[in-house]
Amino acid sequence: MRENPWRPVVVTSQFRIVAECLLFTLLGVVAGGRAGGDYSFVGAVFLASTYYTVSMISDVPMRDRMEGTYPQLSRAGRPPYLTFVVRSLPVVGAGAVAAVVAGVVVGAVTGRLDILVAMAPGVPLLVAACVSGGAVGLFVIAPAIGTRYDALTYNTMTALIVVFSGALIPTGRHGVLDALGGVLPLHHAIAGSRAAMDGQPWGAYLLAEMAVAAGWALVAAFTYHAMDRRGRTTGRGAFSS
Amino acid sequence: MSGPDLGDGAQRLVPRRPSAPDAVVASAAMQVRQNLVHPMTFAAGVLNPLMFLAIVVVPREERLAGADVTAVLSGVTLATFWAACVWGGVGILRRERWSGTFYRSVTAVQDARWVLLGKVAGATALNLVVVLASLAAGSLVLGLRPEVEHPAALLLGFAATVVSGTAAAQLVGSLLVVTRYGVALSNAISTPVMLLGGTILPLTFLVPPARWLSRTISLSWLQDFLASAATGPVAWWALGGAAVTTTVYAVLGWRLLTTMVDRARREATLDLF
Amino acid sequence: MQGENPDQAIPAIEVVDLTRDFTVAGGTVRALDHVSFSVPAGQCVAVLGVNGAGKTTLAKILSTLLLPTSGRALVHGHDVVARTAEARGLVSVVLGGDRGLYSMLTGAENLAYCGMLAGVRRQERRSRVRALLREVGLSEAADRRVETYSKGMKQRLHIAAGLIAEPRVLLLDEPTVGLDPNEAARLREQIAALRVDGVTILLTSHYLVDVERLAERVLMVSAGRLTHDMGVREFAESVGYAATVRMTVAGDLPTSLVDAVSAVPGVKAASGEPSPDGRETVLTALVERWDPFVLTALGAALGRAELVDMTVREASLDEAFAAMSEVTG
Repeated sequence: MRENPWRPVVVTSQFRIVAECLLFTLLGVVAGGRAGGDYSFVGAVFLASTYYTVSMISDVPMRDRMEGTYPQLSRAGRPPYLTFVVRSLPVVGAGAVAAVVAGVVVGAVTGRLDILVAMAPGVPLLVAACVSGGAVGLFVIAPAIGTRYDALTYNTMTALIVVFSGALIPTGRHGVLDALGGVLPLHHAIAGSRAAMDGQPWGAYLLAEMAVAAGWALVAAFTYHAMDRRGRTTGRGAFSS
Repeated sequence: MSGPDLGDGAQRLVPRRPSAPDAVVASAAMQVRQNLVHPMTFAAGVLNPLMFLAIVVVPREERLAGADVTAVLSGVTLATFWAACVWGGVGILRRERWSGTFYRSVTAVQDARWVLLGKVAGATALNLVVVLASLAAGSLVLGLRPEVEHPAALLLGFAATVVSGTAAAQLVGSLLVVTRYGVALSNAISTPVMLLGGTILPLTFLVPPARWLSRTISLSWLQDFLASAATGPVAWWALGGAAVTTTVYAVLGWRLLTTMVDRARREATLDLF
Repeated sequence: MQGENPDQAIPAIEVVDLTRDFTVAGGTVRALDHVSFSVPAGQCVAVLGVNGAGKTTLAKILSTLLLPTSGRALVHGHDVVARTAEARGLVSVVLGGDRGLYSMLTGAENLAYCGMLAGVRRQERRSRVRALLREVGLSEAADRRVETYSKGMKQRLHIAAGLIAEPRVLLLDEPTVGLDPNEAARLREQIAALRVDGVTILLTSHYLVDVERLAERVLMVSAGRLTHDMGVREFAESVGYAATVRMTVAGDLPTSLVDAVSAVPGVKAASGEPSPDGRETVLTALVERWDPFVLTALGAALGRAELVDMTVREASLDEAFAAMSEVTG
């Protein structure tokens, strides 16, 4: 952030997030009229969080690699992954804020503030979605740290979430693809938000989203542990001294 | 190294001479080789187009047929092509500066403007080829069958797309390289062009004042031209519009690059060394 | 005169009253201050100075990367401002380091591209690339990506890129930095061979062994001003002494012994101190010349003291540089 002063970076990032939210909502209108736009708006608000939770979160572990501070982290009393998790919390929070801001702006521009208000009681779903997004974001960047493939990993995950989470494309078309969506972040949270707007209970969806978050967090923990061990024993890899 | 014999036994030193065609072709080839092995070419040229194809087509695939399919495909092509250009073309100058190679172009015997034009042209041509290949594959999977009544016009439209993308990327790249916030700004410009460019969002979805703004974006003209290649008659007026906007980009971009490099040499504003 | 090359009368580098100012927060910094010098064709000149003295600014102006604020710089008679294209065709700058190369391209591809930039025609590029890669010892690595190259290999590739257009003036910025001694020695040989071809070299380096082995002339720059312009030998002698003689004698240090050594003709200064274990004395003498007469005189001055060890070290350019930097402040 010191290298890129935060004000212009945050402003341009939020501008991009809002623009994407608007684009996705309007694509829903193109596909299915007003109802299509309503459907897409809900998903687009959740997707707005992924700029931070899936993409920008990659900076957290990468920074230590780039600045050569990972050895100190590795020799500290706690697993480095825990440090990454703690450092990721502000990024996850930023994702939630970005989603709310995008929802307010796009809701106002497209006349869907009423939908946003209806989504409000389901805020825990948004929080859970941000946490699961952050967990998967930390996971996907791990194997790519120190290589040229970092941007490819989180772009790939974002594309999978956009297509298979049910944010913009209704689910129930193909069993295998729905199953894939079921283990991706945002899927259950978005479904829960739509259920909440229909007056249905959303607790099960919240639990499912939290289970997805826990699953990815475990996978990420294992991955970082394995990479740390590899660095210590072989002296190779992104986390070697 | 020696020059021509001046007849009195003396020889003068003759510096090497620039060649614009050599500069453009060699730079384009070099940039294609670089981008081919960069993972972001896959992200921008394969992932992104397939993602947008899915978003735009799947929710209404039962209702899409005939000329609409061509219009949708050309819209997705142009929109994601531009997004790929933001990384592949616009980002060239920024990456050259970051990697410390920019000074080679600035102190070269070749004119730096032809060199950079070649690089951007190579990158945008590659972008279009990769995007088209991805969307062709995606169309096969989704069972889309575009109608093309005027294939020659379609090819001409693609060529015009590369030219226009090159001019636009060169202009925007020259603008962004002089600011510290180039990365953030280049990330921010991609989606607004998708919103206003008349590609995946038809112009009819925009309020009238925004439609005027869209007409300053060459993509909107290209979309009309490519879509007309599906069912005819070919909208030559749209190609003319694209030519005018592209010419404006090219002239502005050329002058901006010259000004930027001159200013950098005078005020040491770029980390060229 | 008949048969004489008129270009030999034109200096390869001519700098006339060159000044360059930079605008920084709070004012203006003068990086070069009315610098003037000329370099005849085929000479190798080292430009020395502490960090921030103006060496790199000078190289930037001569390479046409930067415009001067005032004054002129000419390369074989071509003004770098008024006749930039002609100057660029004759001069090449080698910056070295990890940057400045396209890491995802091979060594051969990088070199071919640099050749194109330098105006080498397509027909001769391929042969020039192969010949140069052979010359710098990169033939076997030619088709490997530069990102797999070691530091020394990258440095050699930088040199090759600088030579691809057969420049008449070569600007070398820290050419041996980061290289191991063998690599550095090899690179110096390659640079030395260029002088045989009549290439004029302007070299900036903090490694004075580069200066010692390659340069025949030294320009000392301090705070943007040219403070000294002298031959390398004269520069080495500017430290005021030719060698340091260390004599270890058994026992304590009598003051009279130091006085006796100081009084020897040719000794500039002498000092003594006990050895770390206290059982011997180390006498250090700075001699203005080192020859058999001084050796004999020193032996006589030691008298009956038991000489345990003796080393002689010629005054280094580092000492000359340090002394010169102190003088200029």
